[in-house]
Amino acid sequence: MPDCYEFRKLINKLLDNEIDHSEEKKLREHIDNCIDCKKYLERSIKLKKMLSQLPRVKTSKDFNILLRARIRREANRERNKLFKPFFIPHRAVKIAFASVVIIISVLIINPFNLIRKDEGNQFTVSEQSDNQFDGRIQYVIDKYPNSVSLSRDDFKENTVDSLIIKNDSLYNQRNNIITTHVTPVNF
Amino acid sequence: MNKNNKENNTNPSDEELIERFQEGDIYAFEQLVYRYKDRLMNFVYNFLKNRVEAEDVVQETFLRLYRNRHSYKKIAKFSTWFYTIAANLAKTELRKRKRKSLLSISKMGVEDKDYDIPDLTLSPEKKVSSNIREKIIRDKIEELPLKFREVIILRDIEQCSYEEICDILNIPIGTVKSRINRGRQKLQKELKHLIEE
Repeated sequence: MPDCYEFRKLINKLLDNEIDHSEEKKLREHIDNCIDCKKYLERSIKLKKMLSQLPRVKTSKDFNILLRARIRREANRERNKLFKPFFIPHRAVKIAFASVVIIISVLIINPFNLIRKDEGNQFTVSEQSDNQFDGRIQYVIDKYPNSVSLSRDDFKENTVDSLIIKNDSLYNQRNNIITTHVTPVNF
Repeated sequence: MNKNNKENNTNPSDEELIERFQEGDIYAFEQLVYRYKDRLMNFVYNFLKNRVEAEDVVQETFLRLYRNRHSYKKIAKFSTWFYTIAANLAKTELRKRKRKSLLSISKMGVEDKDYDIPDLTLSPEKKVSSNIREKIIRDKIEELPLKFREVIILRDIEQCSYEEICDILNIPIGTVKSRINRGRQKLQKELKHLIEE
Protein backbone atom coordinates (compact mmCIF):
# COMPACT_ATOMS: atom_id res chain seq x y z
CA MET A 1 0.00 0.00 0.00
CA PRO A 2 1.45 3.43 -0.95
CA ASP A 3 1.99 6.01 1.80
CA CYS A 4 -1.54 6.97 2.89
CA TYR A 5 -0.15 9.92 4.92
CA GLU A 6 0.93 11.63 1.72
CA PHE A 7 -2.50 11.04 0.17
CA ARG A 8 -4.22 12.53 3.20
CA LYS A 9 -2.21 15.66 2.59
CA LEU A 10 -3.56 15.62 -0.95
CA ILE A 11 -7.09 15.22 0.42
CA ASN A 12 -6.59 18.43 2.39
CA LYS A 13 -5.37 20.14 -0.75
CA LEU A 14 -8.45 18.89 -2.54
CA LEU A 15 -10.71 20.29 0.20
CA ASP A 16 -9.01 23.67 -0.12
CA ASN A 17 -9.05 23.70 -3.94
CA GLU A 18 -5.27 23.78 -3.93
CA ILE A 19 -4.72 20.49 -5.72
CA ASP A 20 -3.39 20.39 -9.29
CA HIS A 21 -4.61 18.12 -12.08
CA SER A 22 -1.89 15.45 -11.82
CA GLU A 23 -2.19 15.25 -8.01
CA GLU A 24 -5.94 14.88 -8.28
CA LYS A 25 -5.56 12.06 -10.79
CA LYS A 26 -3.09 10.29 -8.49
CA LEU A 27 -5.41 10.72 -5.51
CA ARG A 28 -8.43 9.34 -7.36
CA GLU A 29 -6.46 6.28 -8.42
CA HIS A 30 -5.37 5.74 -4.84
CA ILE A 31 -8.85 6.17 -3.39
CA ASP A 32 -10.25 3.59 -5.78
CA ASN A 33 -7.92 1.06 -4.16
CA CYS A 34 -7.76 2.25 -0.55
CA ILE A 35 -10.93 2.00 1.49
CA ASP A 36 -9.40 3.85 4.50
CA CYS A 37 -8.47 6.89 2.46
CA LYS A 38 -11.85 6.83 0.73
CA LYS A 39 -13.55 6.93 4.15
CA TYR A 40 -11.13 9.61 5.27
CA LEU A 41 -12.07 11.72 2.26
CA GLU A 42 -15.80 11.28 2.94
CA ARG A 43 -15.39 12.22 6.58
CA SER A 44 -13.23 15.21 5.67
CA ILE A 45 -15.86 16.53 3.29
CA LYS A 46 -18.58 16.09 5.94
CA LEU A 47 -16.46 17.77 8.61
CA LYS A 48 -15.68 20.72 6.39
CA LYS A 49 -19.37 21.11 5.62
CA MET A 50 -20.27 20.90 9.31
CA LEU A 51 -17.74 23.56 10.24
CA SER A 52 -18.78 25.92 7.47
CA GLN A 53 -22.44 25.54 8.46
CA LEU A 54 -21.97 26.36 12.13
CA PRO A 55 -24.39 29.17 13.04
CA ARG A 56 -22.68 32.52 12.95
CA VAL A 57 -22.59 34.38 16.23
CA LYS A 58 -23.60 38.02 16.03
CA THR A 59 -22.94 41.02 18.22
CA SER A 60 -25.68 42.19 20.59
CA LYS A 61 -28.15 44.90 19.65
CA ASP A 62 -26.40 47.33 22.00
CA PHE A 63 -22.99 46.78 20.43
CA ASN A 64 -22.85 50.14 18.59
CA ILE A 65 -24.08 52.14 21.58
CA LEU A 66 -21.58 50.45 23.89
CA LEU A 67 -18.75 50.99 21.41
CA ARG A 68 -19.59 54.67 21.05
CA ALA A 69 -19.65 55.05 24.84
CA ARG A 70 -16.29 53.31 25.08
CA ILE A 71 -14.76 55.55 22.42
CA ARG A 72 -16.14 58.64 24.16
CA ARG A 73 -14.68 57.45 27.47
CA GLU A 74 -11.35 56.86 25.77
CA ALA A 75 -11.42 60.36 24.23
CA ASN A 76 -12.20 61.91 27.62
CA ARG A 77 -9.38 59.97 29.24
CA GLU A 78 -6.99 61.27 26.59
CA ARG A 79 -8.23 64.82 27.18
CA ASN A 80 -7.77 64.45 30.95
CA LYS A 81 -4.24 63.20 30.41
CA LEU A 82 -3.47 66.39 28.47
CA PHE A 83 -4.74 68.57 31.31
CA LYS A 84 -3.25 66.51 34.11
CA PRO A 85 -0.24 68.83 34.69
CA PHE A 86 -2.74 71.60 35.52
CA PHE A 87 -4.83 69.46 37.79
CA ILE A 88 -3.54 69.80 41.35
CA PRO A 89 -5.51 67.72 43.84
CA HIS A 90 -4.21 68.59 47.33
CA ARG A 91 -5.12 71.80 49.11
CA ALA A 92 -1.57 72.47 50.35
CA VAL A 93 -0.19 72.03 46.87
CA LYS A 94 -2.90 74.33 45.52
CA ILE A 95 -1.92 77.05 47.99
CA ALA A 96 1.78 76.65 47.20
CA PHE A 97 1.05 76.76 43.48
CA ALA A 98 -1.09 79.91 43.86
CA SER A 99 1.64 81.58 45.95
CA VAL A 100 4.28 80.88 43.34
CA VAL A 101 2.01 82.29 40.62
CA ILE A 102 1.39 85.45 42.68
CA ILE A 103 5.10 85.97 43.45
CA ILE A 104 6.05 85.52 39.82
CA SER A 105 3.32 87.94 38.70
CA VAL A 106 4.46 90.58 41.23
CA LEU A 107 8.07 90.23 40.16
CA ILE A 108 7.17 90.56 36.48
CA ILE A 109 5.19 93.81 36.95
CA ASN A 110 7.40 95.12 39.75
CA PRO A 111 7.96 98.90 39.41
CA PHE A 112 11.41 98.68 41.01
CA ASN A 113 12.51 96.43 38.23
CA LEU A 114 14.05 93.83 40.53
CA ILE A 115 14.06 91.32 37.75
CA ARG A 116 14.91 92.57 34.34
CA LYS A 117 13.43 90.82 31.38
CA ASP A 118 16.19 89.08 29.53
CA GLU A 119 14.20 87.94 26.56
CA GLY A 120 14.49 89.84 23.32
CA ASN A 121 17.48 90.80 21.26
CA GLN A 122 20.28 92.75 22.84
CA PHE A 123 22.29 95.23 20.82
CA THR A 124 25.42 97.05 21.89
CA VAL A 125 25.85 100.71 20.97
CA SER A 126 29.27 100.97 19.49
CA GLU A 127 29.35 103.65 16.87
CA GLN A 128 28.37 107.28 16.86
CA SER A 129 27.25 108.94 13.65
CA ASP A 130 28.33 112.43 12.63
CA ASN A 131 24.81 113.53 11.77
CA GLN A 132 23.28 115.99 14.24
CA PHE A 133 19.92 117.78 14.12
CA ASP A 134 17.24 119.11 16.52
CA GLY A 135 19.58 118.76 19.50
CA ARG A 136 19.49 114.95 19.19
CA ILE A 137 22.19 112.66 17.88
CA GLN A 138 21.71 109.68 15.71
CA TYR A 139 23.60 106.53 16.64
CA VAL A 140 24.29 103.47 14.61
CA ILE A 141 23.81 100.42 16.78
CA ASP A 142 25.36 97.05 15.88
CA LYS A 143 22.92 94.59 14.37
CA TYR A 144 19.93 96.82 15.21
CA PRO A 145 17.73 97.12 12.14
CA ASN A 146 17.61 100.94 12.24
CA SER A 147 19.65 103.80 13.55
CA VAL A 148 18.26 105.38 16.70
CA SER A 149 17.79 108.94 17.77
CA LEU A 150 18.90 109.79 21.33
CA SER A 151 19.30 112.99 23.36
CA ARG A 152 22.75 114.08 24.58
CA ASP A 153 21.28 114.00 28.12
CA ASP A 154 20.89 110.23 27.78
CA PHE A 155 24.67 109.94 28.03
CA LYS A 156 25.44 112.12 31.04
CA GLU A 157 27.48 109.52 32.86
CA ASN A 158 27.43 106.75 30.33
CA THR A 159 29.88 106.02 27.61
CA VAL A 160 28.50 104.89 24.31
CA ASP A 161 30.19 101.49 24.64
CA SER A 162 28.39 100.61 27.86
CA LEU A 163 24.86 101.08 26.54
CA ILE A 164 22.60 98.16 25.78
CA ILE A 165 19.26 97.99 24.00
CA LYS A 166 16.81 95.36 25.17
CA ASN A 167 13.24 95.21 23.94
CA ASP A 168 13.43 98.70 22.49
CA SER A 169 14.63 100.23 25.79
CA LEU A 170 18.07 101.64 26.47
CA TYR A 171 19.96 100.45 29.57
CA ASN A 172 23.30 101.38 31.12
CA GLN A 173 25.81 98.90 32.45
CA ARG A 174 24.12 98.81 35.88
CA ASN A 175 20.92 97.71 34.12
CA ASN A 176 19.13 100.99 34.82
CA ILE A 177 16.77 102.19 32.14
CA ILE A 178 17.91 105.36 30.42
CA THR A 179 15.00 105.61 28.05
CA THR A 180 12.11 103.25 27.40
CA HIS A 181 11.46 104.21 23.82
CA VAL A 182 14.33 103.99 21.44
CA THR A 183 13.15 105.71 18.32
CA PRO A 184 14.45 104.25 15.10
CA VAL A 185 15.48 106.83 12.53
CA ASN A 186 15.83 106.26 8.84
CA PHE A 187 18.77 108.03 7.19
CA MET B 1 -17.91 59.49 -14.10
CA ASN B 2 -17.80 55.90 -15.28
CA LYS B 3 -19.69 52.96 -13.82
CA ASN B 4 -16.72 51.66 -11.85
CA ASN B 5 -16.17 54.96 -10.12
CA LYS B 6 -19.84 55.12 -9.25
CA GLU B 7 -19.67 51.66 -7.76
CA ASN B 8 -16.55 52.59 -5.82
CA ASN B 9 -18.31 55.59 -4.34
CA THR B 10 -21.36 53.65 -3.25
CA ASN B 11 -19.41 50.61 -2.09
CA PRO B 12 -15.89 51.70 -1.13
CA SER B 13 -13.28 49.06 -0.37
CA ASP B 14 -12.08 48.53 3.21
CA GLU B 15 -8.79 50.15 2.27
CA GLU B 16 -10.59 53.25 0.97
CA LEU B 17 -12.62 53.44 4.15
CA ILE B 18 -9.62 53.24 6.46
CA GLU B 19 -7.86 55.87 4.36
CA ARG B 20 -10.87 58.16 4.72
CA PHE B 21 -10.96 57.45 8.44
CA GLN B 22 -7.26 58.32 8.71
CA GLU B 23 -8.19 61.66 7.16
CA GLY B 24 -10.77 62.24 9.90
CA ASP B 25 -13.97 60.84 8.34
CA ILE B 26 -15.86 59.25 11.26
CA TYR B 27 -18.60 57.98 8.95
CA ALA B 28 -15.96 55.75 7.30
CA PHE B 29 -15.17 54.28 10.74
CA GLU B 30 -18.86 53.58 11.29
CA GLN B 31 -19.02 51.77 7.97
CA LEU B 32 -16.07 49.59 9.01
CA VAL B 33 -17.87 48.82 12.27
CA TYR B 34 -20.98 47.83 10.31
CA ARG B 35 -18.94 45.59 7.98
CA TYR B 36 -16.79 43.85 10.54
CA LYS B 37 -18.61 43.67 13.86
CA ASP B 38 -20.40 40.36 13.21
CA ARG B 39 -17.52 38.80 11.28
CA LEU B 40 -15.15 39.51 14.14
CA MET B 41 -17.72 38.43 16.71
CA ASN B 42 -18.05 35.01 15.11
CA PHE B 43 -14.29 34.73 14.75
CA VAL B 44 -13.51 35.69 18.35
CA TYR B 45 -16.40 33.66 19.75
CA ASN B 46 -14.89 30.53 18.24
CA PHE B 47 -11.75 31.20 20.27
CA LEU B 48 -13.36 32.12 23.55
CA LYS B 49 -16.72 30.37 23.46
CA ASN B 50 -18.05 33.04 25.75
CA ARG B 51 -20.35 35.63 24.28
CA VAL B 52 -19.68 38.43 26.79
CA GLU B 53 -15.92 38.07 26.59
CA ALA B 54 -16.04 37.78 22.81
CA GLU B 55 -18.06 40.97 22.46
CA ASP B 56 -15.67 42.73 24.80
CA VAL B 57 -12.70 41.66 22.67
CA VAL B 58 -14.47 42.83 19.49
CA GLN B 59 -15.14 46.21 21.12
CA GLU B 60 -11.50 46.42 22.17
CA THR B 61 -10.47 45.59 18.58
CA PHE B 62 -12.53 48.50 17.25
CA LEU B 63 -11.18 50.74 19.98
CA ARG B 64 -7.63 49.82 18.90
CA LEU B 65 -8.60 50.64 15.32
CA TYR B 66 -9.94 54.00 16.46
CA ARG B 67 -6.88 54.75 18.56
CA ASN B 68 -4.23 53.42 16.17
CA ARG B 69 -5.85 54.24 12.84
CA HIS B 70 -2.57 55.70 11.57
CA SER B 71 -0.65 52.46 12.23
CA TYR B 72 -2.37 50.86 9.26
CA LYS B 73 -0.19 51.12 6.15
CA LYS B 74 -1.61 50.59 2.71
CA ILE B 75 0.79 47.72 1.97
CA ALA B 76 -1.35 45.27 4.00
CA LYS B 77 -4.87 44.13 3.27
CA PHE B 78 -7.13 45.79 5.82
CA SER B 79 -9.05 42.62 6.72
CA THR B 80 -5.81 40.73 7.43
CA TRP B 81 -4.45 43.55 9.57
CA PHE B 82 -7.71 43.81 11.46
CA TYR B 83 -8.10 40.07 12.02
CA THR B 84 -4.53 40.01 13.36
CA ILE B 85 -5.46 42.56 16.03
CA ALA B 86 -8.58 40.57 16.96
CA ALA B 87 -6.69 37.24 17.03
CA ASN B 88 -3.98 38.69 19.27
CA LEU B 89 -6.53 40.15 21.66
CA ALA B 90 -8.46 36.87 21.75
CA LYS B 91 -5.26 34.95 22.50
CA THR B 92 -4.33 37.44 25.22
CA GLU B 93 -7.78 36.88 26.72
CA LEU B 94 -7.22 33.12 26.63
CA ARG B 95 -3.87 33.51 28.37
CA LYS B 96 -5.46 35.75 31.01
CA ARG B 97 -8.15 33.15 31.50
CA LYS B 98 -5.56 30.45 31.95
CA ARG B 99 -3.49 32.56 34.34
CA LYS B 100 -6.43 33.40 36.53
CA SER B 101 -7.41 29.71 36.51
CA LEU B 102 -11.01 30.67 36.24
CA LEU B 103 -12.87 27.77 37.69
CA SER B 104 -16.30 28.88 36.69
CA ILE B 105 -16.09 30.36 33.28
CA SER B 106 -19.59 31.34 32.40
CA LYS B 107 -19.74 29.30 29.28
CA MET B 108 -22.44 30.20 26.86
CA GLY B 109 -24.49 27.06 26.73
CA VAL B 110 -26.52 26.12 23.73
CA GLU B 111 -29.64 26.53 25.86
CA ASP B 112 -29.18 30.21 26.63
CA LYS B 113 -27.56 31.44 23.45
CA ASP B 114 -29.33 34.19 21.56
CA TYR B 115 -27.65 34.07 18.18
CA ASP B 116 -29.43 33.19 15.01
CA ILE B 117 -30.54 29.67 14.38
CA PRO B 118 -29.95 28.96 10.70
CA ASP B 119 -33.04 26.98 9.87
CA LEU B 120 -36.18 28.17 11.58
CA THR B 121 -38.27 25.55 9.84
CA LEU B 122 -36.71 22.77 11.93
CA SER B 123 -39.07 20.89 14.22
CA PRO B 124 -38.41 21.31 17.98
CA GLU B 125 -36.87 17.82 18.15
CA LYS B 126 -34.59 18.49 15.22
CA LYS B 127 -33.73 21.92 16.63
CA VAL B 128 -32.63 20.38 19.92
CA SER B 129 -30.67 17.76 18.06
CA SER B 130 -29.08 20.43 15.85
CA ASN B 131 -28.19 22.51 18.93
CA ILE B 132 -26.63 19.52 20.63
CA ARG B 133 -24.57 18.73 17.54
CA GLU B 134 -23.45 22.34 17.38
CA LYS B 135 -22.42 22.31 21.03
CA ILE B 136 -20.44 19.12 20.56
CA ILE B 137 -18.62 20.56 17.52
CA ARG B 138 -17.80 23.79 19.32
CA ASP B 139 -16.62 21.90 22.40
CA LYS B 140 -14.33 19.73 20.29
CA ILE B 141 -12.92 22.78 18.50
CA GLU B 142 -12.26 24.33 21.91
CA GLU B 143 -10.45 21.22 23.06
CA LEU B 144 -7.97 21.42 20.17
CA PRO B 145 -4.55 22.83 21.06
CA LEU B 146 -4.49 26.57 20.26
CA LYS B 147 -2.09 26.19 17.31
CA PHE B 148 -4.55 23.86 15.56
CA ARG B 149 -7.67 25.64 16.72
CA GLU B 150 -6.63 29.00 15.27
CA VAL B 151 -5.92 27.62 11.79
CA ILE B 152 -9.15 25.58 11.75
CA ILE B 153 -11.19 28.63 12.77
CA LEU B 154 -9.53 30.80 10.15
CA ARG B 155 -9.63 28.26 7.33
CA ASP B 156 -12.79 26.21 7.83
CA ILE B 157 -15.03 28.68 9.64
CA GLU B 158 -13.84 32.08 8.45
CA GLN B 159 -12.83 30.78 5.00
CA CYS B 160 -9.52 32.66 4.98
CA SER B 161 -6.94 31.78 2.33
CA TYR B 162 -3.60 30.17 3.27
CA GLU B 163 -1.86 33.48 2.58
CA GLU B 164 -4.23 35.41 4.82
CA ILE B 165 -3.69 32.88 7.62
CA CYS B 166 0.10 33.27 7.19
CA ASP B 167 -0.23 37.03 7.59
CA ILE B 168 -2.68 36.91 10.48
CA LEU B 169 -0.73 34.36 12.53
CA ASN B 170 2.69 35.37 11.25
CA ILE B 171 3.74 31.79 10.49
CA PRO B 172 5.13 30.25 7.26
CA ILE B 173 2.72 28.78 4.71
CA GLY B 174 4.16 25.27 5.19
CA THR B 175 3.33 25.46 8.89
CA VAL B 176 -0.18 26.69 8.08
CA LYS B 177 -0.79 23.73 5.77
CA SER B 178 0.58 21.12 8.13
CA ARG B 179 -1.37 22.55 11.09
CA ILE B 180 -4.60 22.56 9.06
CA ASN B 181 -3.87 18.97 8.07
CA ARG B 182 -3.22 17.82 11.61
CA GLY B 183 -6.02 19.90 13.10
CA ARG B 184 -8.56 18.40 10.74
CA GLN B 185 -7.29 14.89 11.48
CA LYS B 186 -7.65 15.46 15.22
CA LEU B 187 -11.09 16.99 14.86
CA GLN B 188 -12.21 14.20 12.56
CA LYS B 189 -11.11 11.67 15.12
CA GLU B 190 -12.92 13.50 17.93
CA LEU B 191 -16.12 13.96 15.94
CA LYS B 192 -16.10 10.56 14.25
CA HIS B 193 -19.38 9.47 15.85
CA LEU B 194 -21.11 12.66 14.76
CA ILE B 195 -19.74 12.57 11.24
CA GLU B 196 -20.74 8.97 10.70
CA GLU B 197 -24.28 9.43 12.01
